Amino acid sequence: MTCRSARRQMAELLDSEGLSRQPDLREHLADCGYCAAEFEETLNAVARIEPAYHVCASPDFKRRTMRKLADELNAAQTARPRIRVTPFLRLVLLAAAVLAVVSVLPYLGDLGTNRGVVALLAQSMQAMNEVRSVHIQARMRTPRGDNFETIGTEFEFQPVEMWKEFGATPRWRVENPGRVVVMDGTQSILLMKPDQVVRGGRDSGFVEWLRPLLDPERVLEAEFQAAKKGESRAVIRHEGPRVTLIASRKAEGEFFNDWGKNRSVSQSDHTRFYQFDAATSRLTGLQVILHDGKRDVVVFEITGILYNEPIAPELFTVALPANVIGDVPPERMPANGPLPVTARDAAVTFLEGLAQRDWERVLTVYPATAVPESLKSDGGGLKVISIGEPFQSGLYPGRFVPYEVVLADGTHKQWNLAVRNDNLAHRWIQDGGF
Amino acid sequence: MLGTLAVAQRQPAKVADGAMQWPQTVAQFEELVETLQDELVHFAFCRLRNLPDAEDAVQDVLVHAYLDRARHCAITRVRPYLYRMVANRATDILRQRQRAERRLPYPPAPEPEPQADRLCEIERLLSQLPQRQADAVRLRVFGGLAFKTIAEAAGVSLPTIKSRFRYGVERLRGILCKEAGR
Repeated sequence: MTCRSARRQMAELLDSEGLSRQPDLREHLADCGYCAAEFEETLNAVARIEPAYHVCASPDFKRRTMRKLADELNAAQTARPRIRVTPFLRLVLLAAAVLAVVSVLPYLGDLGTNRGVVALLAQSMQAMNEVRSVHIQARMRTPRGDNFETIGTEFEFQPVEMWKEFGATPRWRVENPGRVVVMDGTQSILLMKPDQVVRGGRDSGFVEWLRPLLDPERVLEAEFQAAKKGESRAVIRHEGPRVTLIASRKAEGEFFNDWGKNRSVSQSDHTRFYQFDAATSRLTGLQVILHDGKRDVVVFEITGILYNEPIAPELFTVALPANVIGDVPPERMPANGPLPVTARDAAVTFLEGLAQRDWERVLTVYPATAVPESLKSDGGGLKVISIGEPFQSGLYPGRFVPYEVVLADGTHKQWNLAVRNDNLAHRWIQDGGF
Repeated sequence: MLGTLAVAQRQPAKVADGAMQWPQTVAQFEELVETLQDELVHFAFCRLRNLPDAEDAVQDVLVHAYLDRARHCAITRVRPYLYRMVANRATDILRQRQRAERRLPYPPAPEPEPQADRLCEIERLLSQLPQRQADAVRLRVFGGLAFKTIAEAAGVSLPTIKSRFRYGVERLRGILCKEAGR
């Protein structure tokens, strides 16, 4: 090695990944006093700019950073600037969607070779562009008063009704016997009858899988995209005045335990039968059939769709009772005593709190401003028989905790409590299952 | 309370080779903060010479990194990018300070840190280097980053970063020699 190349490579010895390399250079420095002196000068120069010691972040730096993130996310949720969807912009978006679907047709197998597909899609979108409002009546097999996600072949049908008004500021309302969700153009409000309310942004997940039905013109596009990603197998049939799109999907999620299987549309093997009017290309019906391995059961069906029906503005407001109970973000929940550190601890806190009618303790894991009277009357004074080990199932990000209790009225109850801690504060909260 | 069935969380951010992906979930973000907070705060402190300012700068960078996560989801090694973002943020803060000093004849002095004098001297020396050479030297000496990582942070090739560092140190030696001979 020459002195020239040695000086050129000298800095490499200062690389954290170069310490063990450069044996030729090290050999040269051992033999060449001139280069060794040069290297020492280099080391001295670097030493002059090395800080005397390392500082560390403050002990509460992480907590403050998580707090700042929570504030930013909350602010973004409530103050995200709106894009005004003018009729022209809507047409442009629809055209873009058609182009997007046309571009993926070669990947869609049977669906992609169906020559009527593009025409149907374009006509459907064009037809929907002229729609000012939609009112959907449907029914769904779900526990009475439950959320918009839970389904089960063992449940009776419950009515579900949806309204949407299009325009520059779209608004919508979804309602079942136990819940009402209203998106008034700026925020969403979920009322869990009779007295609990949760507020969220425009795109909060209060209506879960039903949300796409509020944009009927997007249904076809969404199904095409799902077929492209391999999430479904889809075919189209033209039958006289009707066009039917049949999309079959497999259950999503990991089922280490099959508790979550078939408890929501997404978590079940199912087939969706969409119907479109051949003349107007508008969506006219949907049936969702669940396949549980033994039988095929209709779990959701649209019973009527009305387009361009006048909708009273009051429908996009929700009257809240005077003593409404609000939700509390987990990071702002009170800490009245030791907090649960495991999913099972959270279940114990919740159930024992109910057993002892210790509402403060219940509020340690129940994210609300107060314990609702319905929960007090149903669960207060219960007797805990057993609380099992938590498990995961399906798409649910939290844990299910098996429990067995006897309620104050003597009813025996064995079920799974849903608890989760996927929030910024990592607080375990009770999320359902009672 | 809602009984909703949300989408499952993604896997933790650590990947097989020890690099960290851009955080896509709150859990991954928290892991990132836990892992990198000390080194990033130290790096910012070396430039800003004030711990509260350094922590504010790093906090801003981390939070914005998460808020912009969708744009960066394909990045498999987040560390170099965060260093670059912290370096840029520190430069912004220094410019703001200079502007404030120009506006106010007697600005309130920041709380002096124990090693502020030494850092002041270091910054005086580095400020005499061309910007790119000074940046490479800072990332290597203050951040302890390998040349390969610095190259990623700067968006240039590995030989370029090695050259910038070498010329930077040579120039630094020249400055020190000159000052010693004064």
